[in-house]
This record gives sequence, structure tokens and C-alpha cells, in this order.
Amino acid sequence: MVNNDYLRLFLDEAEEIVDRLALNMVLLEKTPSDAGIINEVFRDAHTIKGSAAAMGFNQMAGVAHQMENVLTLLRQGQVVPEPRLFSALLSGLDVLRRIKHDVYNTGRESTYDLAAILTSLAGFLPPLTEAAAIRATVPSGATATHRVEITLRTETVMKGVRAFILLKRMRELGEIVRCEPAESALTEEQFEQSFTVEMHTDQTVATLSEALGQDGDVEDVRVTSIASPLGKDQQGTEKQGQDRIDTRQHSVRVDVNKLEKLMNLVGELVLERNRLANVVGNLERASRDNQQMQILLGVSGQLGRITNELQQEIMKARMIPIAQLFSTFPRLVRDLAQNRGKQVDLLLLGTETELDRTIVEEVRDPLIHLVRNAIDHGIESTEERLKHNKSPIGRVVLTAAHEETNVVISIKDDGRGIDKDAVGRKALSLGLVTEEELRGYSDQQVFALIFAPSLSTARQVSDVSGRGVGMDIVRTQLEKLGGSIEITSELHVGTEFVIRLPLTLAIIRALLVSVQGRGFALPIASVSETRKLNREEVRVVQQRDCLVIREQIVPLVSLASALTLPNAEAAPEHLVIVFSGTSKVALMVDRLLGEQEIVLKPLGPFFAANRELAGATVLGDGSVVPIIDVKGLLSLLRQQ
Amino acid sequence: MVARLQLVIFSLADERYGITTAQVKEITRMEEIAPIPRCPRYIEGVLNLRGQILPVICLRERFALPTRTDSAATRIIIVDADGLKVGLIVDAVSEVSDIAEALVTPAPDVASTYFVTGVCHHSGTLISLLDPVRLFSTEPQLGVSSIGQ
Repeated sequence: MVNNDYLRLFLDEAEEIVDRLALNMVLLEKTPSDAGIINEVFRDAHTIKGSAAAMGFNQMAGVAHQMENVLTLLRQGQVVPEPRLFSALLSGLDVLRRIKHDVYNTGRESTYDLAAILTSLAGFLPPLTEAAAIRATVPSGATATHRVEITLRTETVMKGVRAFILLKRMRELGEIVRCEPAESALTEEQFEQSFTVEMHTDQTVATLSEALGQDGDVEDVRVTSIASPLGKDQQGTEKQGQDRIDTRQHSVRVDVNKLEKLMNLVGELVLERNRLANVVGNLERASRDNQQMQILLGVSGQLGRITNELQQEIMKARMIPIAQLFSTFPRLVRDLAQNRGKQVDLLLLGTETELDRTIVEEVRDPLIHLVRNAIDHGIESTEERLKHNKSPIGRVVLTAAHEETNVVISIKDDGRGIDKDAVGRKALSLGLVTEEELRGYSDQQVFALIFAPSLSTARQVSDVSGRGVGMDIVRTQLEKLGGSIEITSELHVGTEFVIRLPLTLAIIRALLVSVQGRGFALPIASVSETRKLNREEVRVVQQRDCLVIREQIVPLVSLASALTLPNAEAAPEHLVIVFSGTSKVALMVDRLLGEQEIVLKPLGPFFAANRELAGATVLGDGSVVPIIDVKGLLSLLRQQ
Repeated sequence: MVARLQLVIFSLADERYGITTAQVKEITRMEEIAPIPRCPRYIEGVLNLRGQILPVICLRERFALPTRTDSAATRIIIVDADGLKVGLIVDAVSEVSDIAEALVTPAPDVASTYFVTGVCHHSGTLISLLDPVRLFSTEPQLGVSSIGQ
């Protein structure tokens, strides 16, 4: 019964719930009386218990069950919301995550030693037998018969599984008397959108509606009390017993690969649209008065508009809110702060900001690194903060926002700041800069030195600079995504890192250049400036042509020779200065053809050895142009 | 029923070659091919096939035959080699023919026929059967020295 589709649905759901639980538990620790959060946490624990059990992952269900029991007491105000309690719940969550991870990799649970976590959770339960503790989740009362009518969303993918899981959930709440259609028909998906179940239960109408309505695939739940032998729900006639649950946000899970395919198709559509516009433009110039021509012009324009919109909509489908990434931070900050004996408040802003799914995944590690650093090295100890007349509680603010076609993420702390002089001294002693260069540096430039590999990997520097190791990796990773990072910092006031990322990786802005009649695209994210070459400014350093650009020695290379194209007669006179990390190179090209949005298409395994190429794109006239990967090009040049 | 093999037969210099139709996706006229720098000489570049970008190989270069001159007969055969679509430039495509499998004999085991999986006689000429996958492998025991240089 458990095939891959069910398993994937389960894992998707579990992932979402576990992430939300982690976030909410940390919130709850701060505001333990927030009924909204308690209820959500409780519902989530309950759901994951139910679906894990339905999938036969009994250890997972067991831990979730025990967490649910503790949460029940918390909800009823019967346990003290102390840090110890939350630590236990969070450990429980870690176990759920680990099991989920195993299930993801192997399709099944392995065997875990759950004694420690179960005991620590049980420690919060009243000294009753476990059976009694479970009873606590079920308000004891008289049993009544209820009719439950469930309508699933029309877009529900696996109705059979949903029905199965819902029935399973109902069995936890009571005893099923009758199903219509029959249970076997339900689980085999032989029903429309609705089914009706009669059940004996001691739960109230409201609890039943809530427990069943929380399922994302349930459009509507109607619970009606049809018989209450002990008279508890006497007035529970059909009308009064009805309880409608608000429908949740309309969402469908879509396989990322399917989106990828759609995206590729739209990419092709965009290219064809450009070709059509091109042809139409040419035709128009040739036959301006033709009426058919005017119609073709109109059609081409409309097609262009529709294509644009379609492209944008599909891009949006690939977008996810950054909340999915940010949600891991409250837990991380809590644990780290506790571990370091610091007090830290985390503020998340702009969590609804959306960006490409791939980028969200790729930016996770750099962001974690920066936040850890902010707490490890930025935020001072409580005593030190008090000494500087600062609030004893440090603050880290994560902000995300859209800025034109970029997403900007800022990581700001109110800690001790980066000691500019210390960074400068260290860079001097490592020979990264000369004293003269350093004097001419702006604050920004000095701070940027912490990204230099030799500086950022020097252990002892992290203490003076106030930043940890591995900053070079952070920057490299961001640049790989076509992004950038900047630092501003003030001693004893705080530090801010600002990351700029493109909204998507599939479409990039590029500068088109031509070399010996061949076109090449250079990603704008790697271009620092363009200008004409002035022959007099060329210097020779170690037998190589160089330019001095803002006191930095930059090698001068013709793109043709870098790509080992045959030599041309005339020397190219246009310069494009490109960079990756701190290395720059001035490329000579014949012509600059302008900037354009291009669809990046991989070249495939055939050209795997061409590290200097990121892919290729098709231009409006149908011609194919290789896209240069500046990082690869630079490493190629180093070898030459 | 005799097992039959359906072949796309094409010419290259003065010789005839065949590729099974199962491996041929389509055949197009010669189109503009964008060269890619720093590649083996036999890789002509990439082709825009309705928005898809495909590598294109010049079979004459691959087999170290005299350099080709494009004519109206020049064709690009798009083959599927283990899921990878690749274009092969040939002098001309002559026909699609059914050949009894029994007529195919193994290629003589000499190094120069590394790409050839078998040979057969058809309408009085010798046809060498090519395995597209082998065209892109970098096996060293090629009979011709200039390949890939």
C-alpha cells in the first residue's frame, strides 16, 4: 500500500510540519500563554502522529504521541512552561527530524534508542500510568453518535490516501460505525469528493470539526450529532451541530521537475517570440503600408505580452517565501545563545519575500554561517554589553526584501562591530595589502578584506576581527549564485551584512560582446565596468600586460586569446573588466553589443571540460551565443 | 519472418554508412552552427534546434577524412546516443532501407573500425554500421592519430 507517491506526500507534509513546529516551539517558549500558537503546535504534533502511524512509522508516531501528551498538559496549564520543557520538546522534534531523514533516504525507519527522549518527555506528565495520560487528550464525557461529512478539495491528488488518513484519524477519536461509500471503496479512490462517516465518540462536535478540518486537502467538514444517548448533546440537532471550518490556503504540491520542464518550455517560447518580433520588425520596414502587415504586427505584440506574463507566472510558481528558510533560525539562535551563555533576540522581517526555490536552498548555508558568526563573534556577553551601556539582550535582525530584480537579505547585529584597524593590521602582516594601498582604502574595502581566503581562514583573526572563519567560502558561494555581499560595521554599535541575489537562476542579465565576429555573453553580475582601452595605460608586470585600476593591478587579456581563438589582425579596443571574488581581469573585446536578459541553457556533458562556459543562450535572431563563466575563465587564465 | 534492420544510409567521402532508424531523431539541412572554443576539432559547435541547444559533430573530422565542403546535399542527422541528442554532419543522406539482419557481418577487428559495429552489402555497395555512442567515447585505440587534437 505504501508506494512512493504516498511516501513523498507524507515526507512533504512531515517536512512542513516539523519546520513549523520548530519555529512555533521557540515562539511558544517566549510567549507560553499564546493560545493560538499552543493550538497550532498541538495540531501539528497530532497530525504528524496520525500520518506517521498511518504510514506505519511507529517509532515516529510514538515520539510525536508523547510530545502531544506533554503539549496537552501545556495547553491546559498543567505544566510549568520552563526552558527544560521546551528543550525536551525540541529534542523530541530532533528525533522526528532524524527519523524523517532516514525515511527519506531509505524509505523506512531504522531502529532507534528512544528510551531517553521518551523518559524525558514522560517526566513532565503527571505520575499516572501512561494510559491515563493518554486519556487526558480525550476529554472524558458521554459517547454520542456523530455524522461526519467530509468534502475533499477538487485538486486533491491522492484522494484514497487522504481518506485513509482521515479515517485513521477518526479512529483515534472514536469508533467508526458506518462509512458511505464503504471504507474499501474510499481507500481505493472510488468516490467523488465527499464521503460520510458515522462514528461513536466522546469528542464534541467542535473538536471533531477542528481535528478533521486541519487537513490541507479537506475542503469542508460538517459534523452533525445524530444521537446522544446520555443526553449530553441534546440540543444537537442537525442545524445547531453544524460546524464549518474555514478552508485553508489554496495550494497544490507540484513536482519541482515538472516546474523545471514548464520553465524550459517557456524559455523556448520566449526565444521564439523574440525571433518572431525580429522577423516582424524586418518585414515592417520592408512593407510599411500593407494591412496584413499591421495585423501581423498586432499579433506579434500580443503574443509577446502573453509570453511575458506566462513567463512571469511560471517563475512565480518556482518561487517560495523565504520564511521557509528563515524559520530554521529561531531554533538555531536559541540553541546557540543558550550554549554561549548570551541573551539574543532574533527578529525576522520580510519573511513573505519570495525567491527561486533553488536559490533558497543554496543560500541556506552562507546565511547560517553569518548568523552563527553574529552570535559567536558579534554579540557580546551580557556583562560586556552592560559595560558599554547597551541593552543586556543582544539583537540579530534578519531582513529580506525585493529590490528591482534582486532579493536583498540583510543580517544585522547590535554587537561589538568589526575592528577596522585590526583587520588592516592583519592584512598587512599577511602581505595582502601594502601600507600605501591600505591608506587609500575606504571602510568598505577594509571590511571586504575579511573575505580574503588567507585572512578569513586565520583562526586568531576571528577574535580581533569579530568574525569567524570561512568568510571566503560564504562569498564564493554567493557569487556562484550570481549574488554579492557587502559589509558595514561600526565599532561597539554593530555589523550589517547585505546580500544581493538574483530572483532566479534561469534568466540572467548579460552583456553581449563580439570577438572576431563571434558573440559571447558575460553575466552582468560578474562585470564591474566597461570602457575603451587607452594603450598608454598598459604596464608590463612579470612579462604580462596589466592595467592599474584604482590602485589594483589587473591583468589585461584579449578574450580571443583567453579562449584560444585564432589571432586577429586589429587589436581590440574595448575593455570589459570582470571579477570573481577579489580577482579581476580586464578583457579586450572587439565590440560591445549591449545588455540583454537571456535564458541560460546548459551546454550538457559534451562540454563539461569547458569550465570557462556557463552555458549558452539563443538570441532573437536564432543565433546561439556561449555564456562565459567568469570564475572558470579566471582559473583557466591562471593555468595559461 | 526474417529479422530486419531499418537503416538511415548516408555518405561520407566515398563511403556509405548506416545508423539504425531507432537511433535517429530527425534529419535537417545544414544550419548555422555556433562554434564553441577550446573543443576537439571534430566538435563543430552547437546547433539551435527549436530552442534546444545540441552539440554537432563533423563526422569527416571524426574519421580523419578530407575536410568537408558544404553543399545543398549536406545534412545534419540528429541521433539519440544513450539519451544525449547530438547532430552529425554528413555529406548526404541517400535512403532509408530495410536490411535483413542476417546479412550483417561483424566488422573486421582492426583499430580503424572502432566506430563500426558491423558491415553489410546493399545494392552493390558496402555499408558500415555506426554506433553513435562510440562516436563520442574517448577510447584511445583509434586508428587515426589526429582525432581530438
